[in-house]
Amino acid sequence: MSKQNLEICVIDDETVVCKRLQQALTKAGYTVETFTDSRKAIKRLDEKHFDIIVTDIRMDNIDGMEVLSHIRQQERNTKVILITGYATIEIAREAQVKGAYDFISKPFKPNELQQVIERAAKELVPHEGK
Amino acid sequence: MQIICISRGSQSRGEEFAEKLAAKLGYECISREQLIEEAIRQKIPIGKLETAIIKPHIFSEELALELEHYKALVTSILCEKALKHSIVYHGRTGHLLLQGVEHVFKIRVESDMTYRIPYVMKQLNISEKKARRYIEQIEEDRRKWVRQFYHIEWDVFTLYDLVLNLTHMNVDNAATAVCQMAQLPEFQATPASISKLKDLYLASRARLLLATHPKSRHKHIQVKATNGVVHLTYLSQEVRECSMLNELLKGLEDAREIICTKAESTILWIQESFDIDDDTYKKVLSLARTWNAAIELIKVVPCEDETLTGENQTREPENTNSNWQDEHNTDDEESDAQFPKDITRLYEKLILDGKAGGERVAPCTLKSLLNTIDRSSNYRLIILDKIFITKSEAIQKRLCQEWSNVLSDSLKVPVITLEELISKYHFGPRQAVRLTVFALLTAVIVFLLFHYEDIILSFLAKDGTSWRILEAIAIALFVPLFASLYGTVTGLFLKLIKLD
Amino acid sequence: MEDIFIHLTTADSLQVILIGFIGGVLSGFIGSGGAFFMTPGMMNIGVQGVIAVGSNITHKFGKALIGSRKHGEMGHVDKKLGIFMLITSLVGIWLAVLVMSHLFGIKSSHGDKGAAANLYISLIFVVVLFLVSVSMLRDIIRKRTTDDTGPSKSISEYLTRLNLCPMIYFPVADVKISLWILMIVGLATGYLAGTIGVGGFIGVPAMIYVFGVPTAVATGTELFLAMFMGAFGAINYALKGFVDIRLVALLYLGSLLGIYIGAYGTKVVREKTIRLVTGLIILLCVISRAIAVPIYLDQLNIVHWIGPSQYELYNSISKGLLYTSGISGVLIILTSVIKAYIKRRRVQASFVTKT
Repeated sequence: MSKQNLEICVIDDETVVCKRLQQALTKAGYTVETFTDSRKAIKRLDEKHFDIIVTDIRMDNIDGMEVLSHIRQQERNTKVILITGYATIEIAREAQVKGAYDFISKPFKPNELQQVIERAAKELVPHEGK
Repeated sequence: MQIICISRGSQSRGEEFAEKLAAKLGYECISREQLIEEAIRQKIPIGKLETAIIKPHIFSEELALELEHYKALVTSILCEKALKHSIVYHGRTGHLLLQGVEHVFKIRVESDMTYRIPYVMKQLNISEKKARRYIEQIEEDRRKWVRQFYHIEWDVFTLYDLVLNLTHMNVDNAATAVCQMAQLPEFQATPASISKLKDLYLASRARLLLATHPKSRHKHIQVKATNGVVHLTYLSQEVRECSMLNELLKGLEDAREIICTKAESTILWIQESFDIDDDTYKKVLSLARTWNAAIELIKVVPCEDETLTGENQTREPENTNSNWQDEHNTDDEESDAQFPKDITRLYEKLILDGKAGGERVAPCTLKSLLNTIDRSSNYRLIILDKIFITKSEAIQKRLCQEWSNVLSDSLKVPVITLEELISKYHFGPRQAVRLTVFALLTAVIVFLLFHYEDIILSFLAKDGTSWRILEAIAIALFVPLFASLYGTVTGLFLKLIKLD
Repeated sequence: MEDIFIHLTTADSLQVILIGFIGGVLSGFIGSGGAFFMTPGMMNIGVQGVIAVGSNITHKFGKALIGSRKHGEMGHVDKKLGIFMLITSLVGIWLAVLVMSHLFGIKSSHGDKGAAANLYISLIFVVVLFLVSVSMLRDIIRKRTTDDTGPSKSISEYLTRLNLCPMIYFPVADVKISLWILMIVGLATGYLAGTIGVGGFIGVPAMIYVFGVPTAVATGTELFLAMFMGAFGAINYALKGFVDIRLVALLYLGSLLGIYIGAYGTKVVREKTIRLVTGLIILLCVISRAIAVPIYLDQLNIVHWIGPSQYELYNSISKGLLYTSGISGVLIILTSVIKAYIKRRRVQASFVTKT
């Protein structure tokens, strides 16, 4: 699967983070959509398939863990990468049992995320209809 | 003033128990989560520290400094509160933060899997299989956290005064019972333990000051306080000016004195027991003075189990079924978490002599010893002696040799025993005699060489195969002899003027 | 044949000790043999080139012997690579000694022996060490501008691609090297070690750039090699009668003391300064030797740039330059060492402040 075909959804309630990730990932050749409101994101996720979701854990409304559960309930071929500044072992392991692909703790460098995304992309089974 | 530290097993109702106990005793209840919140406010990247356990490859030198910062912050908060009133703390490692404070009542709360699995299933809404895996992983991670950050095995029950299994016990009843136990004289503060607590508080505040100031933020500086005297040790390449540190610590309350030790390198001294009156201490110290090195002590805690003595270390199997790095360690090592008296006494002496470079305790397996050693330190020499003292001399020697090979291989630093230290680096009367004798011998050889110059030269210039072979043999014998003779002289001479 | 050993006056003896000391300091400082200074130094005193080289190799053998015993720092040796290099380099040394003793036999215009050998040694010395010093100095200049990305692998990768059979795998260094290339490098190292006594200058960079061996393994393996090469060279030269044992002893008197001071110097002098000083000293040694070349050319009736009357002048210029470079190098190192020594005494006491 080439980079251009990869659709990434970024959810973070901080606009700055969204912007920065949008820039970095678009530059790396991915198709990126960002959301600062997790409720809107969930709606969009129901409409459209994303290959990779990058989401913050601590958010108002719906938190990252719920986004993860939501995706996993639908048994979709989507990799979820969680980011947070408040990670503890317990949260990280919870994310893992709930089926997150990986876990990145803030502050991180964009290429740290890119590496994880590249790794996830390799493991993605090509999506039907593509 | 009482301090009760509760180490919680995951999902074992430790939190509930701690809160009940605090309420019954009328103490303040502090949780690890509160401390974490505070650490996050202070901009310590807790997430990085925690995930470093899960993804070990990301643990960097910078993170090691953050860990120091975190430990100092947590210690200072706990000490501050404990000096004001009685507290109950619950978390992973409270008792390890307050090491050396004798009146801490250390409790471990556990529950059976039969209780924990259904609880986790309900909480996280996951299947039984996943819940079990979740609990096992967290246990493993916490064990690693404690091992990596405190160099101690976590689930060793000798670390605690009391281990509670809450599977079949009502939390309230358990708390009532423990209230009674808390009244025991062993868990009451003494002047000595209070002064230890004050020292910990002082050292942690000093550490915090250093960790938060941009000038000293990225420096490896060891901080220790004894009886109100703050002692800082650092390598000379880390900090150029001691006055800068003094300036930074000016505002530190209750500090009677600040002593800085600047070292160019570190001598690591590993033994099972340290004897303060021993003559060897003076010799190691004098070497440290010559090199301007700090001395770091590691006490290896003896263990009973024969199988853990280093020869059958197996690599930990790596779990490769996911990208999350898991390591399962099946060792069940026993260790003594308390700082034993001998090392502490020696260390205090080292501080007074201005050569203190740190003290640690390691369980007696080679692996944990290697984990304990700080690889970022600039070690110049490792002294390894007096390990496995309970075993026969032959075994001692063999194991010592084995360990020293592994250590020198993995750290690329020469490893020697005390005996070798004395013969190699110490200049005593024996060395003086040797120096004189060897110097005389060298002088005699040089004199003879020039006195019988003509004879020797004509011998060397003689033609003919058999003569030539004879000459070659003579030279091949003479050269190493002369070189080693005179080499010893120069070596000893430089040792004498302390330029080695 | 007794005239091949010169008469040593007391002044000459002291000079040899001084040469040994300077060579020792430099070799301790650089971590390689001090032959580049000691060989020309002895030749300037009037020692036959062959004798200078032979005595030097003998001296190096004993030094390597105690050096290895002292440090035991051979953790990085690739034994397999070491043995392969050793066998070929021994052949190289043997060839070098053969050529040398043949050249020594050629009589000059004045009926003197050894001029041809002197010329030959000097030329090889000038060419090889010129290349070494220039590449060292270029390295320093380049390091200043770009990041250190480790030694270039282009040559070694190219050679691996060529895949000249048979390829041999070396486990410690983790490289595959063609036997032929290995033989060429080993031969060259041994030949140069045997001719001018500086094998390390060629062996180490060759292992790093041509074989692609990690730097630590290259230096470790070189240490291992130096001992055997020294021993073999010493015995070979001794068999031809070219070792002056008095010179060897005098060299030791200076060098063994110097080597410690030089080694101490590396701890107190910055890495870049070390390289700069080394590069410059070697370059000056090269120029000094080059100045002596016309003398030998004249003696051999090849080119008459200068007559016998000017021998003295050229020799003193060469000698002066050599001593200037050596002594100033040693002074730089010594001042650093002494400064550090005094400073250490002063900081020794802990800094105590009352608050």
